[in-house]
Amino acid sequence: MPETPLVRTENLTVGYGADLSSRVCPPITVSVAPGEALAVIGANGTGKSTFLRALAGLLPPLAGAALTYGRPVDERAAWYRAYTAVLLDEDSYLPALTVREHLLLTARGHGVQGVSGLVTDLVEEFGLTDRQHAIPSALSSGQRRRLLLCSVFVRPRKLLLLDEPEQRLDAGMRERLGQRLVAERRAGGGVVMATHDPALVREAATRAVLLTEERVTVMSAEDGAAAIEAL
Amino acid sequence: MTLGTPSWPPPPQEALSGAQVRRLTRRATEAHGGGHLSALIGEFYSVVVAGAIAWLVVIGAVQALGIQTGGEWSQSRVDPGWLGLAVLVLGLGVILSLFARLGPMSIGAGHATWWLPMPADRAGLLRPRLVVITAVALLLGAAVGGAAGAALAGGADLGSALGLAMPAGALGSAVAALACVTGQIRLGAGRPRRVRPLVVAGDGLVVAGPVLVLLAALTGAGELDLLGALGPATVVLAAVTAGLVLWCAHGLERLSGQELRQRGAIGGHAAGSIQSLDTRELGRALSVPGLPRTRRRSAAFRWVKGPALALVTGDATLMLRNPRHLIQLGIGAAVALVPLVAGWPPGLAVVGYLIGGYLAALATGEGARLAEMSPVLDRSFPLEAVVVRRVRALWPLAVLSLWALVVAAAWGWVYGDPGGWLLMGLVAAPTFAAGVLRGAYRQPPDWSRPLLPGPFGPVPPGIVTAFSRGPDVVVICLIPLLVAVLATGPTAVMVFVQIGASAVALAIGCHVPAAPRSPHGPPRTEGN
Repeated sequence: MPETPLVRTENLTVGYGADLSSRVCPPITVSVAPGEALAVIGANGTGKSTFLRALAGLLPPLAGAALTYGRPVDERAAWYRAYTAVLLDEDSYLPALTVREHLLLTARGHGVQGVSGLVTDLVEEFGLTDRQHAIPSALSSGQRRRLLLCSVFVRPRKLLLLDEPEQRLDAGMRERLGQRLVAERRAGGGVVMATHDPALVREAATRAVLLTEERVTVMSAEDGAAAIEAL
Repeated sequence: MTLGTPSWPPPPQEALSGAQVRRLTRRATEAHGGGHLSALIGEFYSVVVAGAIAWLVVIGAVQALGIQTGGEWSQSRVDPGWLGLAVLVLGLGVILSLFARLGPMSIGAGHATWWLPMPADRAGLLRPRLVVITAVALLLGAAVGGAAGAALAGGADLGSALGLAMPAGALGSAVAALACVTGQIRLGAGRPRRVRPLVVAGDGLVVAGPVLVLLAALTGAGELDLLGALGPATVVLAAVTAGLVLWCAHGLERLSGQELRQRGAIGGHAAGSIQSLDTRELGRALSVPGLPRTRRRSAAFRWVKGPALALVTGDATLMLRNPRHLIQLGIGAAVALVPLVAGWPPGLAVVGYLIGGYLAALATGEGARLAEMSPVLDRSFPLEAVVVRRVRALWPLAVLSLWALVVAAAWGWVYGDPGGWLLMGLVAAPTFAAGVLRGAYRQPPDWSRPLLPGPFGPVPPGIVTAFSRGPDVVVICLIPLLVAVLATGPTAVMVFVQIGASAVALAIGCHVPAAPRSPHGPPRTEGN
């Protein structure tokens, strides 16, 4: 019996508006099974982030359907929130809490056991050990990005939705992120990430979907990386 | 000259002056407006009518019960002189704090980005800002002066008291504001250390105002004659104000671009906060960073055993770690207690309770406001959206119940029947929690629709209605308590009616609107 895809879209049309004339790209039909990582690629303004926001339930589709775990996306439901870790292009943090406290609170809120060691390992992996007792406003923008990345890895999840996770990361940290994503899918998790980084696509993605104004093309990760380089 | 290749540097006659750049920007902005002032007035009208209806319900209920609301100014235990002094101290503190943080000449981030790289003269770009700051300072000062005058009059000879107090208050406040701006233009540009004492002094005055009245009431302080000093003070302050304005105007060219950008960012943040009626966000925007950048060690949060406790812990930590929030709770309590301790009429006790209570409530709702700005925060735990909203009410509910018990104890002390008042205060507390939650999660105004002309630039339609979301529930659902204060006392009937009203308030505050649906897609089924 085939495994239920983590993500399946059928002619999903997205855009910021009330009618189809506001769509930002043609309808998208893709699926992501457990253990797969889909890279969403394309030039600026072709709808990568919009597509991710629709999968995250933050934007209703203009047409078509978006399913996660075989059910319509419902970001209000506890099951959706329990399974889906989302990183968008925004700084979201509690200004009075330290880096470590953010991660402890998130992990404990999800009922994770042995959180102290987990958080220690994670902040070390993402190069935040020296800054773990700092509040977010005292961090550089790259460090804040790393904190947000830690926050999606410190909690249980089946699916990662990442909007340009490589943003503001140095080369070493991008490589470490790639390794993390590979480990994620090898553990049976799914990843959908919008990205402009061909190296990240080559290392971590299993497939890519190229969005342009005229068409949507699903391709191999290698072809996706080449397409980014050609943009 | 090749088309598209600018000559470098441009001839002086081709470069626009600062005033021309400013006018060009204004015309372009106005051309993209389209809204009408009448729409804004209409919004004000509907909000004022709603407030008036709520007040009439209270008055109607009181009259229907045929009970005297009682209380006379002559029973006041605070001499009007002390009250006038407190209002002036508080008002000056607010203005000093505000302008010390915003000055000098905060221009928006967009203006800083697009204007400052131009070769236009900076004085021409900034001069209208100086006029606006002076005007705002004078208006705020007039309000402070008017309030002080009303307090000084104490119900008698209001005209002459206002005639003296208003100009003196206005000019005093203008001097406070301009002193901050001038200090930063002429002395403190790029040197925050010179500004910080002004900020601290302003905050100190804000706290000192209500405390002064409380102390005067509790110690039975004697008469304080301020009226005689106001005439000479007005003359001196007017001269100082004129001098400071001129000094400021001559210092505009000295302002550095970096300073203008930094202050512009603060100003933009503050303006956004005001538009969302978020005093804490406003406080954060205006504060010289108050939070320690690092902590010696992080809390382990070992008591957190699930998503609900995680959310409550986050809300509690946000409030308890910022001294500003605790001060706000205290000021709220002082505002609510002063009319009681001073022996003023119950009508003023009601107004003080509403204002003080909402001030205190705002101190408890930062978690909810952050979550509205960054939706991911509410979605990061495995809880239904509606459950998240209910959990977000728990911390405000706990804090405001304690706050209400303190105030209700004072009611019991003043009006008698302390047990009844404690019960009444306790069952009324949820309305403040509901109000702050409703305000925190309200939809922001729609900036994509044609903008309306406003006093400080274009504003989106619906902004006044947005302002009223939160306070509206508090005012409406506290009517039973207001009637009890004004007329009946904490009878069993009023307690039960208040319980019902508080339940309605909580239901409104915790309501999560239906999710937007795809306009063209297939109907979405609920997850099973």
